[in-house]
Amino acid sequence: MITGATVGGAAYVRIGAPAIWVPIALAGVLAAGSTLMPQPD
Amino acid sequence: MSEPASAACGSASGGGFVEVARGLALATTLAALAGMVDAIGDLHLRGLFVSFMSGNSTQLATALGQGDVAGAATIAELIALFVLGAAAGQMVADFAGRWHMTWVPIGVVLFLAIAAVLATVAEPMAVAMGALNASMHRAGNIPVSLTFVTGVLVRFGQGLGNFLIRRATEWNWLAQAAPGSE
Repeated sequence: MITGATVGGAAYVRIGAPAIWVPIALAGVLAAGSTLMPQPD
Repeated sequence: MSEPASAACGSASGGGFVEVARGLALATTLAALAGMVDAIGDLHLRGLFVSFMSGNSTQLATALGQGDVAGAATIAELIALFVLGAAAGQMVADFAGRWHMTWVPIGVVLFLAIAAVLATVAEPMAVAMGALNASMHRAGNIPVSLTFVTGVLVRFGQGLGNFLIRRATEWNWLAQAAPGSE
């Protein structure tokens, strides 16, 4: 969480509000990646 | 900080090392995602949070104590939306069954995208962070939490204390130090 907050804070300082697209992309990758992993029953 | 009743939504069902390691890695990534959104929200909202509800609760009490009704209303709205998001995420996870790890993040993406399109408004971000908690509840037999750190630190400290007075002899309490574990 601390690492993510550091990255998010740095991104916001550099590019402003569009930084929100960084976690959106990460969540998208997680959702897509989860389809490739075996799902618990 | 307590484990949600529906532990069936948890991640790895067994206790195998690979499953636990994979679950903790996933929880770490999800916690990083929550931290990212919270930091962006904090900077954008100048001191308010979309994920850190302990902080918002204190801010709410401070605002009320100072007679700042408008500020308190804003914070209360964020807290309420976070709770609604947690409820919605839990329902999506329940409906999605074994595919909850896919559908809950898709919901998170949708709400964060709405926030992005609307110039990073806080409300959808708070809903998304509440919902994110339904992505996973356990990595093997280790409870995980994605949006709060205090519970992690308390459990780690308690495990360390038990180890130091030799009430616990195993090292599994160290797993509590893993980001995302509860």
